[in-house]
Amino acid sequence: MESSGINKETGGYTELPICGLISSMNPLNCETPSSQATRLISLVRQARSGDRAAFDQLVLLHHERIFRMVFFRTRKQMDAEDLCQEVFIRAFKSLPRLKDDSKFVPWLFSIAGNTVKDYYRKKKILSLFQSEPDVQVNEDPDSRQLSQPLDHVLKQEFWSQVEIFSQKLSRWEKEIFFLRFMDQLAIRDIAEATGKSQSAVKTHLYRALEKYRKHSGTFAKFMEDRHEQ
Amino acid sequence: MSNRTSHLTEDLILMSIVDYEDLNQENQEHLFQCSTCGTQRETLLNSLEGLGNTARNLCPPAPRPLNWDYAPRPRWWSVFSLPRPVYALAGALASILIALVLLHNPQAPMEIIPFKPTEVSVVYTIALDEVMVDIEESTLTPALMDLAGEAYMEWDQDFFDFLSPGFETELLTFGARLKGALA
Repeated sequence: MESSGINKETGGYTELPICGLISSMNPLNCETPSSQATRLISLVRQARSGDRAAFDQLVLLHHERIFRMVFFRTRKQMDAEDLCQEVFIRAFKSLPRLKDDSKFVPWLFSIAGNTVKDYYRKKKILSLFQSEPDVQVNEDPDSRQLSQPLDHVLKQEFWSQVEIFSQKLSRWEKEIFFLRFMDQLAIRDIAEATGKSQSAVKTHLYRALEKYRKHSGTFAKFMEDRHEQ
Repeated sequence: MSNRTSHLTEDLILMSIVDYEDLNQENQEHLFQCSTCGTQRETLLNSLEGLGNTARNLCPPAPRPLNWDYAPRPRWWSVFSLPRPVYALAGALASILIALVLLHNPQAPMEIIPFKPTEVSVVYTIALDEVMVDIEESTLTPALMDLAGEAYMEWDQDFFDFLSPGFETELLTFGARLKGALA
């Protein structure tokens, strides 16, 4: 249960263990959540004082999560890679302005959210000067290179279902739903990242879940089909 | 032991997924004991978990991150990467300063220097000469004037002098006037 971050006992998502994220990169063994938090805080503190190696460690720890977060919102691998780098460059530049070291993760997610927002803003401006519409809006170019075409079709089908569902949500419902169930952030971290109160986050999440319940049948069918494959 | 008879509403089940702690003690106990409500909640939670897992599985692998040990150290020009509101504020302050400087040093009104009568006369003469040259140059040849039905006339120098008196004529006229005035 811990591996997916969901805790069915309490119904909430638990913090992901750092070692699970970077088992291949981090030579350190798995740590308890409290020691992880302490280590993260000390890394942030060192990075803030100009320690490059500490920031390098922070990048290693969160790179994959941030990349996934950006990819879920852009659905383009190349763009997600560029934006992911940009997120860490922005974080590096503005690290001295981080007030609370323990809030590094939500702070990083808020930077990622703003970077994605800027990406869409630029894209919107550029689209005004384009005579033809962008035909690869939700298409992952690298997915064409997959050796298995069926996998590619399933992938496309899944993301199109996610897109259909996302269109039923308001901007904040979508953002908070994604942060909670796809990026696996806790409610308090979502509140920090979005700058909203926890009760506002819960309200948006509740509304998103109401809509999800009506749409969950489509996802369930898709996941069953995929399981059969 | 929960003593409630009815099942949890769908809203309460959703609420338990959003935050389990938001349910009161009685509902928490019911959810723990009732298999119907527990299954409902479990199904939705599994669906959400499946959605997240599928999304993560279908996400392409993250690229190798930058090595920050080799990242360039911030230089003095890094101030240009300040947030946008700082630039806006600086622009507004600069505009206010320029406005203040302009208000305190109003530009002197432009002096209008009238032309002297002689200058006007010279200008007039030059303009008239130009008109006469144009007339002269655009005169049709005798043959074409015949074709146009207009009689050809010899150049009338007296008439031309009358229209545009030359410098000598002007001088003579001026001398005569001066002489008369002195007399």
